[in-house]
Amino acid sequence: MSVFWIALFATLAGTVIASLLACLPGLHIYNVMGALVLAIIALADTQWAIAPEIYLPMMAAMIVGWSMVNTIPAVLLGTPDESAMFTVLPGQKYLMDGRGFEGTMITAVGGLAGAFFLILVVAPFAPRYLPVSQEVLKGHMHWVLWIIITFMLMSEWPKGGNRGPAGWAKFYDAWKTLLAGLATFFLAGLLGFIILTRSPVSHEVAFQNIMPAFVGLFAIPWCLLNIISAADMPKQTVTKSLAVNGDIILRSVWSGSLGGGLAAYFPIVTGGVGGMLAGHATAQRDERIFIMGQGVSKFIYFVGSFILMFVPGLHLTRGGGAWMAKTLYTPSGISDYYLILGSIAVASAVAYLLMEPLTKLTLKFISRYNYRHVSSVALAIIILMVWGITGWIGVFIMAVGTGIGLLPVLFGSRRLNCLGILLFPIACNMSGFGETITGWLGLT
Amino acid sequence: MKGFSHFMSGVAVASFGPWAIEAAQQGNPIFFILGGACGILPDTIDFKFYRFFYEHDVYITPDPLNPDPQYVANEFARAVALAVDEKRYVRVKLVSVRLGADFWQQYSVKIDNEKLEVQVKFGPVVNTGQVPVKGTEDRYPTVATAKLKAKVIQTYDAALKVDIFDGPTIGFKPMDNGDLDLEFLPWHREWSHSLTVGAILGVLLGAVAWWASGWTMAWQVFVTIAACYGVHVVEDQLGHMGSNIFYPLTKNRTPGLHWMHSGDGLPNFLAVWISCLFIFWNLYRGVPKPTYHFSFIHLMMVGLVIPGLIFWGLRKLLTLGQNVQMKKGDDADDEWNESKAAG
Amino acid sequence: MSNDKQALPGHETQSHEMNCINCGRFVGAVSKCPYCGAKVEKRMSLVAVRWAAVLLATIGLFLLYLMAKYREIPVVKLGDVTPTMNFAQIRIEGQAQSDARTFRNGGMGFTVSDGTGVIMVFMSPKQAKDLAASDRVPKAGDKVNFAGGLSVAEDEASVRLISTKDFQITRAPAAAVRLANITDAMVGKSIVIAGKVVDVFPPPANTKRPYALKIQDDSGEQTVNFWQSEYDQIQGKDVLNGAYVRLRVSVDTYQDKIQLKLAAGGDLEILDGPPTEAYSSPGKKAAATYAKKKATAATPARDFSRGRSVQSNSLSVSEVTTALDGKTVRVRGRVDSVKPPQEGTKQPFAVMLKDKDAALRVTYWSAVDEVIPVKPTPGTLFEMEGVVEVYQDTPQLKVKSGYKVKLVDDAPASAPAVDVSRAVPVSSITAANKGETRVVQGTLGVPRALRGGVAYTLTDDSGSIDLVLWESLVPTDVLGALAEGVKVAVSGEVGEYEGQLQLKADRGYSAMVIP
Repeated sequence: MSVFWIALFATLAGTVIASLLACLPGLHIYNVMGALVLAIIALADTQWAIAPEIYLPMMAAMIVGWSMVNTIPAVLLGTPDESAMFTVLPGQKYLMDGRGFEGTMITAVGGLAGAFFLILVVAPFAPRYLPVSQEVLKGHMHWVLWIIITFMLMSEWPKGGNRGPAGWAKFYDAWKTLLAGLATFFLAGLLGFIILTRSPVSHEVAFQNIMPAFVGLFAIPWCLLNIISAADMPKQTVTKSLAVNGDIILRSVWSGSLGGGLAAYFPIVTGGVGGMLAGHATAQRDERIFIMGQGVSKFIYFVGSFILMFVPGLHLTRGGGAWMAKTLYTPSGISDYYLILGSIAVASAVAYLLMEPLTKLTLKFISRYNYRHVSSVALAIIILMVWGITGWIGVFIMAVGTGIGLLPVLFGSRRLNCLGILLFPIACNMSGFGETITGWLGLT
Repeated sequence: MKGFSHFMSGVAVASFGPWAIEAAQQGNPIFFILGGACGILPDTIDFKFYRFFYEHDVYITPDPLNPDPQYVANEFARAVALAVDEKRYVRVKLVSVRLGADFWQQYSVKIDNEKLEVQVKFGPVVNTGQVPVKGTEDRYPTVATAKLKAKVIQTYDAALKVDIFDGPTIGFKPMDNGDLDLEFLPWHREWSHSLTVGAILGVLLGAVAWWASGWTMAWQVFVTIAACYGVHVVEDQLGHMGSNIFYPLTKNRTPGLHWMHSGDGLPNFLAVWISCLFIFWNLYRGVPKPTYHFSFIHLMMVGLVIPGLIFWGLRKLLTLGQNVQMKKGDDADDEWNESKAAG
Repeated sequence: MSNDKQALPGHETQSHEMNCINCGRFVGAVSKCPYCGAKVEKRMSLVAVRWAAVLLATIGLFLLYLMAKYREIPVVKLGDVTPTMNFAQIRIEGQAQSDARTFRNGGMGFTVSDGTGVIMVFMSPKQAKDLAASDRVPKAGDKVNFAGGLSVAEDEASVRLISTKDFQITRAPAAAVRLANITDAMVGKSIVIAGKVVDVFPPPANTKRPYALKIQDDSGEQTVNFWQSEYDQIQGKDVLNGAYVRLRVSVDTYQDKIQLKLAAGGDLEILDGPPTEAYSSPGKKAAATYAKKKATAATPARDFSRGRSVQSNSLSVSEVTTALDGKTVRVRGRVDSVKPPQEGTKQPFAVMLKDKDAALRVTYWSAVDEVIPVKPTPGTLFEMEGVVEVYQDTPQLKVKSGYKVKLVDDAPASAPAVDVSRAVPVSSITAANKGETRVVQGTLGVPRALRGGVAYTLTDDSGSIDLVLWESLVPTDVLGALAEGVKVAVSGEVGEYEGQLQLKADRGYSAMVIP
């Protein structure tokens, strides 16, 4: 069978597998890819060794499928409990309005638009312009992280302090949520220092060092709050059209590509941070643009960061997927770049086509099964996965991460502050005083 | 302008200092951090500190369970009367009405100087994105009125709208002819948005830098802080509200140039993007032996002009035949709303 | 006012806990009503999760911190490193394979081996400075023990040093070596040399070439290379030229020639006077030395009159007698003739060695001849080791190994190093002679050190010309015999440099001191 058909089937398989797995709440594709990498390494010297023509397109397709379809559980599987949470996320607004299907599909349109943008606009120009920007920016990544941290911390808006007479009581009422945000950031930062300097996880599975913490910071709180939520999901309707036009798509691509691009290019900056920065930069007020832009941003972040590894003349490793692929394969030449781009194009189309049936299936599923039970099963799967890869110590790290990850949701600050787990220690290391801090902490 | 625009402008201004680039190349991010932080600092001071200590004379607090426009109108008129009778500056707080994690009862206060009355109406329920919730537009059709003891002069033509998060503050300043001058958000840019305050801050932190690292660091810190703080003041002068530019030497806000609204998408994006291009250019100039060579014009063409033209052309194509209405921000309170909506 | 208020989107399915139980107004997630001040009761599960969050985030994190702080970083053999260990913190105990080198950004790197694998270790500029300040910059051969963060890619792995506090180093002893005794066998090792700095050549502007420091001791001259970063570290570099110095250098090769490299400016110590035999540890930043093996025999004075060495601890040809029958001896003599075996026969090679009037026949088979690196030719001085056999009352030497056949001197004894009869006046040499060989004789002027050689002005009765002798062409014993005021005869190629004619001495013994 020729390489073309092998790559095509691998792409289709990766897309379908990831799209199905993406419907499970709390499961990140990097966790699945981690297991895949382990399998590939184990089989490497046997007769079942998997060739790069199979696993590379498959990995690319998995990332595409997940980043597109992951919107479904993010929007549909989780009703915000207003007695517990301070803010309602944009996708959740659609759910609470009975328009969960619409919200999901608008995000999917954003993902597809992001795919077009990535393949038709970014990909042809990347080999020409990204090496230039890399040469200029490469010694300056440290302060880019620092200004992102500065803006993240300075731009958070106090949720309280809206009522009552002026004075310290009002000031404290306002700053409670900000202090929760700062506490979240620095506690996550401390957790990051521990994991990056002297991780208790066994060195034999160190490539998943950070996974238990991330699961604890983001996935577990989501599942837990679903489980204890006192709110039920309103009745959902399936619309026939999405009420979006070309202008909406264009402006969504504009804001989403900026956010996703920043997140893909700069190390440690994730999709959430990129989306926040782009949202501030483009000042779009239309909620459809906001939702669609999130879809664009997420796609470009996850898929774009993977592509950077293959850009000729650049070969930047960004994102968990690329780091894992790098342990197996070193890209060389333009053919690898075309292989990946082709896989992404095919996978994007297939994932988008799967969105509607999977969304409807999920809606049917959650109308029959309580989302709390679904979240319980997801929680059990996640804990088992963490335990299976990193053992009990990983579960403990996950528990600590869960505590930190719950703080912003329950005490009114931004979840983005949890990214201090990577932003803070790595910014300190890049600026040369990380070792001083770990010295003070007694970790080195 | 939005906070991020001010922030990036500050970083861009900092990048013009060669010492900032050199320090960054040595692993020291301090000047860029100072630049961004000082770029956003004036609004941080106002919105996250000062406003919680700003005393009000009258708090207009509608009941979420029973929103009464007449109560609002009466209280508003009472505040006006207080200012007229006591011939002093009176500060009024219009408190927002929260109905849910994502829902706010909007109400508007309009002054009619010809009829010498205030008109209050409770509008739709809006979400945190200030988008009205369908079906709530006509919950409260009544328009309540109350007579005013004096004319209230506004420098802009808009109704005061109260919706998300914190409600606005207004100040009634008695004028010589007996009218009242309405100042929107009197605590905002009262003293924080001042070039002199930026310079004073630069001197203070420069002194700390001098103690820690010597004279060179001291003046570099001073220049960075003063310039980046100042660029925020300059940018705000492009809007409507203006700033008290030379506080404490000046007493009142100098009105802005009215060139833009603080929430306008295009000026904000251009401010951010052009700042990024300037930063990139300054970093490029600091590369010791660059492999790639390009001019400033080339950078602007590739980074701004060509993509901008393509985007504009595509937009024109996609909106051909459509009547696209961009939501216009109110002159007075759009910065207030933009700041809150960003949180 | 309308009383027809429908529930807001999603509120019909929300919990009643979002409203104050006392006044009924929306309070959300807060636990005290901002309107009436009543306490808002939250369900047990939410309270429990809140408390759990705070406890896990504080106490849980603290426990995790303690666990990490007191955890021993495991020692991992480099041969056991697998891709799943990417990002692992491991301890490595091994030996530095190379001197640490400084990168352009100020960082540093060296390779380490633990016997099971080799890996590159990287350090940040700050760590590099810390190690340099505490004299712990690794050199080739040093034993190291440190903790690092692994980075494993498909085609390479590397380690990033976690902390300099934890970096332990045991210095490998470096032998003190005379300049003339530096051999290929020392490549990859660190040695200590001492002598006088003849000159220091900075690199040409805008090039990446290193500095060249010419050092001379009583055995010869060598060049030590180092880069700008090392030069900047040298203490007292202003008085370096002409000073006596002791250096720890690593022996390397470059373009098939031995190259001595200074790894750090701190490894160069300026002495107050000529170095003494009893080398002391050259300051905090150089390695300790250890005693050399004793020399086996006294070295006889060299006769430089004809530019050849005469030392030997082997027998002369006349000393080989029948009494040594069956014994293994080493004989030195000049090759008189070489007779290879006839075609198609199994005859041995036969070489006649002569020494004044004595002659000795030496034989060896073809297999031995194949291994001999420099084949004997008539006129050359050879040293051969073999077994004495007596044939018809005449001793012969039978050589069993080609490695025991060594060239001592390739200059024919009967021929002078330079044919003085061919000497021409300096003034007769013109630009038209460029590329041609000329012999001149005259008196040498003040020597000028060059990168890789030395230059003199040679003056005879007719004029002067620049004489250039390159170390790569002219043996060191010849160079060592030359000095200002010495009368010499030189054979060389006519050339031109910067508009001036010059004579480049030929390869070999092309310069001869004339008594």
